[in-house]
Amino acid sequence: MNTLQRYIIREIVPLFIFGNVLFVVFLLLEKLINLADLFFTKNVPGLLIAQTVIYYLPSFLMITIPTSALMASMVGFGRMSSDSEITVMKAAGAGGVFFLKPAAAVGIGAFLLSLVMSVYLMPLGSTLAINNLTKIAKSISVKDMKENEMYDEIPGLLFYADKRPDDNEFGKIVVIDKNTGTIITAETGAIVPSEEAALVMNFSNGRVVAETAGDERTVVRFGEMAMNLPFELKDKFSKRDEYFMTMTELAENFGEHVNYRFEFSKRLALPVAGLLMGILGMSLGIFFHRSGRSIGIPLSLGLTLFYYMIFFTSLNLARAGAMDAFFAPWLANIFFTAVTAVFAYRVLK
Amino acid sequence: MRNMGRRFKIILAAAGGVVLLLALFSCSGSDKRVKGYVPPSNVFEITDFEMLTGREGANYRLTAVKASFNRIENIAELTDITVEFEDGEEKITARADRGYYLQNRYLVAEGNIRGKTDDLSFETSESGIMNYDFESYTGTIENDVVCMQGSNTIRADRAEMDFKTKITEFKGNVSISYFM
Amino acid sequence: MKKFHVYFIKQFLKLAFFIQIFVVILNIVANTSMHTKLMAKHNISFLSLLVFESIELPSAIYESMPMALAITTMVTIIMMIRSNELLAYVSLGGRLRDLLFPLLGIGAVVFCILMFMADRVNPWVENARKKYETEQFDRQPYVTKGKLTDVWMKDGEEGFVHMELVDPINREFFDITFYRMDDSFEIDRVTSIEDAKPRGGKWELSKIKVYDIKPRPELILTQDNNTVESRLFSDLADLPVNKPKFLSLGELSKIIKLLKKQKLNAAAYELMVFKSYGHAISAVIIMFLVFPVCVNFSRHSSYIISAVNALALAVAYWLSVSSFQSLGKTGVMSPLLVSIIPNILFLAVAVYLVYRRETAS
Repeated sequence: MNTLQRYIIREIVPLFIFGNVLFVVFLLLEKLINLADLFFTKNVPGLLIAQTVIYYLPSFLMITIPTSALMASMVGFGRMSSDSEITVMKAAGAGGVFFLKPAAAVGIGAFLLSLVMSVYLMPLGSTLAINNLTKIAKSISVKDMKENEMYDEIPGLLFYADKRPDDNEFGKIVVIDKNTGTIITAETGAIVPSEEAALVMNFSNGRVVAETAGDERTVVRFGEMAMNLPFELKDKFSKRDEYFMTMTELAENFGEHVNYRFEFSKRLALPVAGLLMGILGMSLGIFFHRSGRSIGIPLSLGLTLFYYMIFFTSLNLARAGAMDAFFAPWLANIFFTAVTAVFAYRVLK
Repeated sequence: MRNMGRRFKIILAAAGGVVLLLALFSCSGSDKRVKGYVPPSNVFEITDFEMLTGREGANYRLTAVKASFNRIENIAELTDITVEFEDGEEKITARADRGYYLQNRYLVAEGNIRGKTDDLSFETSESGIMNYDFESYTGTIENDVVCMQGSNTIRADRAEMDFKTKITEFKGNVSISYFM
Repeated sequence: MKKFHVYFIKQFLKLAFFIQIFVVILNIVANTSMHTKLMAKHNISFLSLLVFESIELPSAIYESMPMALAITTMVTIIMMIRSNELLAYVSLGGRLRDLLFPLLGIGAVVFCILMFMADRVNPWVENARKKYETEQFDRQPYVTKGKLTDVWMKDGEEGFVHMELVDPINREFFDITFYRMDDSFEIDRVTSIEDAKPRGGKWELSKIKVYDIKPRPELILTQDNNTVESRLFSDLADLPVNKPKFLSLGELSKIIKLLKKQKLNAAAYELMVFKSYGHAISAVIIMFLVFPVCVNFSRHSSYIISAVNALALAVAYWLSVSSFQSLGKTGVMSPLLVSIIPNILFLAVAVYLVYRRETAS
């Protein structure tokens, strides 16, 4: 790798990093508001949220690395083409292989990074993220309950309070158990979340009005009432999903379902896309410099979309049994290898 | 580029600071985690417990100094109990040291049962037991039952009462002392 | 409108189109790849999943449009600086602050688009998506104006009312229970009604039972039917019956009015309305923020550094808008304030940056 080639790599790598950051920001955009909610209204510790976002990064990066590789090498080589630096290098005797080396180096870098993500970090990150989500789901809180509000964020219960002197203190509070229609009214009440997804409530000077059998009504009056109401959270984060399984676990389950075979093969196929996109970006960047950069961008959009369309179609075929599950993820790569070869040949001959 | 970079970092830090400030500001009054005594899950610990309920014309009042109600099993453990029955004709009250109120229907009371109606009173020893079914208006008292009406006294091991028919049946070592 | 401004707008819109498409593709690919589990769970084909994700496109565009415009501003300015067009403009006496006007024009148009989307398109998307999911995934018939079950409301100062079923189409209520509260904030009377049906301007109630709760629970009155005037039933009958995300801004305002009449806190709904305005204005402010940061005429400037600075500022703005929104939910600040403060704050930063940029260059 001589100085010029290292210069090309130094031109492309910052773009690659910036591309990944940009795409991850876009993917995180919508979730940002929910995360802010978790922090402010559900009183989930900020560290736990930041940790969960970081654990989820590998699964985002699996998607953004190939796209960033394509965009980075295309914009990098495109910029050098339009500034005639490529022409100067060619005039100085740089042949086809000269440009292929830095592009392939960036592609291999993307390949290795993506491989580490898909084989090791993504399953590990997803599992840790699910543990955090379960912990986050456990942090039940009434912190965002306001005065004179019919507050029904807590499953099965409805709260109402005339006064709220402090975060956990309430004046003239009503708690309605929606399942039984039982109503608790109290002069004052304190509600504090406990560690185990439960609310500890202390009421004073109040009454409970409940409907008993035969349409009769029962009233219980109390001086003090303390209760500890746990909330059973349906465990919607099932761990058996193939995303969370390591390669060895997938290998052990090959016979069970086509998903595991497809997932195993996919984790090796997607990183290769990073390599292909790195080289393809180079060809596009150089090839389209004459008509300016604006053609390059829509073309890379189309190619990215096309790649994922083939990929998801092969997933569908594999599930329907019309294609072998090991081969299916590689279909898109085969097609893109051909496209890359054609473009590279035309540009570098 | 150099001087703009430095100034820009200050602005960025300011923007970041604002967000951090908000975060700290808003959770300064953050939820206090639970301190002190926490009752077991699904248990209501009640002091000065008083329950009023009715069944087809009959009204009940059940009080206890302390009650611990398990909402899953629908059982309330009561301490220092008084129970009142009133159906427009008669009013019966009784007390006991402790007991259970089960499934919104049965009362099981133990220890020093004392009770009275308009014209008679009854009591048991320290190990007395009283069972009462709010739905069928029937109940039993056991262990050295003594029933007094004026100067007349009935002693027995067990008394079975029916508040509807107003009949009380005494069983086991029954002895009566009766003055004309 | 100077020629340069027209040229600037044309470049801007061309790039905006591609960048928005790119964001949409990224969104679809990410959502689809994360939701492939649905294919197994509901036994549906990939095509149905793709249609399901594509229905959410308008909402994805709505959410990402401000950030996409920020990136567009960045790319437009950087390309103009690289081609020295901006330098020529400034050299011929053009002032940077004048370029804010085209951005303002674009911002105004985007404001109207985003407001229309918040009012009409997003509710339609949520409805269409729910309908598709119910019919294709769960294979159940979907009733758009569904019934409302297990409704709890506060009846002004009177107390609370529970309705097992509200049928807005026929304007009927079933299994209604009124819990009246006395001055010492205790329930003193419970009235249960089997159903309530409209009769002219009044309401015909059937199978009424009234219990006194104080001093002891006692059934004091039973009636077969009775026709009464009820403001509560009339208000509730024409209340939009869907979840907030299915409602247009007009319907949300109707709910706010009713809640206020019931002396209930409507902050949650007000927040949604102000959030739509805040989101629409954010497109203008984020463009104003990114514009000065990308303008850099020095010879050894790197467009990567400008891009990173612009992205960092845009994310900081987005983060503070989200944080303020959540603060509004906790009730620490009023919904109006939390929608205004971050925008005013960062507008001031933008104006300051433009001023600094203009005096520096």
